[in-house]
Amino acid sequence: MIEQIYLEAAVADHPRARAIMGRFPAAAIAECDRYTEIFNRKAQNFRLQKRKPALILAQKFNNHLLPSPPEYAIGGEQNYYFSHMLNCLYDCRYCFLQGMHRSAHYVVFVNYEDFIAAIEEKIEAAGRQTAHFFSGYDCDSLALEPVTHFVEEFLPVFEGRPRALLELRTKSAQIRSLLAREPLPNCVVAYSFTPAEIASALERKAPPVDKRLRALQRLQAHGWPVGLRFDPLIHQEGARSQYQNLFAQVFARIDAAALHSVTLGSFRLPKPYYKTLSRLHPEEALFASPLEETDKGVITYRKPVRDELLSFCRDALLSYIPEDKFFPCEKIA
Amino acid sequence: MIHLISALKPEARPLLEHFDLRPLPGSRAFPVYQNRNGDITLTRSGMGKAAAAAATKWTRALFKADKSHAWLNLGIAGHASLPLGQAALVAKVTDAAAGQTWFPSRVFSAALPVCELLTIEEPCADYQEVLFDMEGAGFFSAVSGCATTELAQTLKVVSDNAEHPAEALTPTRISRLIEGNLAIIDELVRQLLSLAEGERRRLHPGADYEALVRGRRFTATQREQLKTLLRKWRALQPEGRGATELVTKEATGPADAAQIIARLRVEVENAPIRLTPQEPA
Repeated sequence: MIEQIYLEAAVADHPRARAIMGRFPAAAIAECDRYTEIFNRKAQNFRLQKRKPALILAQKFNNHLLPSPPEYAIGGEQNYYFSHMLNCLYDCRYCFLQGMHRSAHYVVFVNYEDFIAAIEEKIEAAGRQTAHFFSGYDCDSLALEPVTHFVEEFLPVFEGRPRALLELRTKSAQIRSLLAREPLPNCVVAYSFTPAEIASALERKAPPVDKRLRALQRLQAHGWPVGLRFDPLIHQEGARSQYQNLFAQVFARIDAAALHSVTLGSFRLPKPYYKTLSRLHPEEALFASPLEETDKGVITYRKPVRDELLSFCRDALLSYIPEDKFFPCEKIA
Repeated sequence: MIHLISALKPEARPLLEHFDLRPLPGSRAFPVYQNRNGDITLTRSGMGKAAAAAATKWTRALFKADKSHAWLNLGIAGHASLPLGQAALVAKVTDAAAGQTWFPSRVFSAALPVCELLTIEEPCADYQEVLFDMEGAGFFSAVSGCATTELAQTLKVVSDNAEHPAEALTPTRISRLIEGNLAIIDELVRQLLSLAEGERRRLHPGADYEALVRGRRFTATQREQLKTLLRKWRALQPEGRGATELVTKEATGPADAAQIIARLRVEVENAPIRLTPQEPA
């Protein structure tokens, strides 16, 4: 799977770097001083790199945690996101990562201890307030778990700290490590979904909707709090009935009463990312959709299209779940 | 299109024969060769980093190379322990004198060793577990301004090692080392050509665009608008109605730039959005 590893010289002897390299004995290894010598340099082609991404093992020195935008909150008073990894195994055409990074290589920051210290510090500082930590912003939280052991290492931080909550955002069926342990009431495994007709067109290399749903069922049956993420909502001919079918399919198989949260948001990208993505994938009908630029410089569906799909999905979802579990990422007309 | 850069005559000779490359008349600074299809060229740079850089820049200008062109630096190199005749790809190139490094991204399949390459100024008998050459860094310093890191690669064939130092090398021996790897080189060139062709199709506006602007006056802004609309039109019509036919057929007279853009805009606005399921792997 990984044929090339770039290794920062400073982490060459880090036990986690050595363990990860041990998973790929046939990979060629090249040392570098900093991962930025390879990652996001000029004259890189994300689309070509995505054919065979390399793995970069690096150290993150600062900004281990960043405040997350308030519209992404799911009930926490303080909200942070963190990225032990940059880039994703999957190749979803709508994903902002393709517009944000010039490189498709996977970067794993192996100094988990520094991320954990930063999380513990924020939890302490939050006092009586709830602090939520989101891990699936720059990568899929679970997809590379057998290699990174991210979940295994980070979950103990949240044990016995009920005011803190960890969200694992994923499309992955790599749930073995979660099923092998007692569930934590303050760790939400949140699955992203689009209808199968849209997923099969846009979510390349990602597990099909049915496989995700089976993973979600097993996690819920094991006692893990689970969440549903319908973000981004994608418009195409027949989208309403496709979303209606998706919701029916999902809620027929999970216990809605035990759900932690449901979020909803339109397809949207910062304008520079949209430009990059539409150049990378000129053949993609998604980028020929009826889009407009908002006053915040975001490219999204034109208001009538956006409002229509958002309000339809909100109404459909609220027929399955109570309003206090519903967290739309934007105002719905 | 792919450009091969080789330093020496005996390195180039087997490649010229294999790819049926003919001298390109009018290239005075460096000998340049091209095949009949026009999609493979070879430039012979002569020895050394500066020569490799100059030959690469010359080739770039000669063929007006953009980011859809692939590049391959092909030649011999020393290594402490790899056997003579072993071909190897390169994951990191270091200019020993300047300390500068490049990291070509390998996005194709090849069952070959992948090594680091150290470009030195003078031949060296102090072999280490990296490849040594005298051109690689020059090639990368010149090509990095015009090619992406995925489409600029180096393939080295081990010509000398700790047991068989470079003194024993003859032109005939060098040619044989390259000849012994022609199947590998051919496969690599085909893979890079295929990637380059994909990029050419992605980056170029296409035949519809050429047909529509031919003989009509478009401003620079209108040309960009036309490219964007054609991109969207093609994305929405995966089965492919021709935009040229649509625009010209329905015009009452010879449609001008503004009419063509307006017509296409209406078509794009009204086309249903149908996302195309991906082909099963």
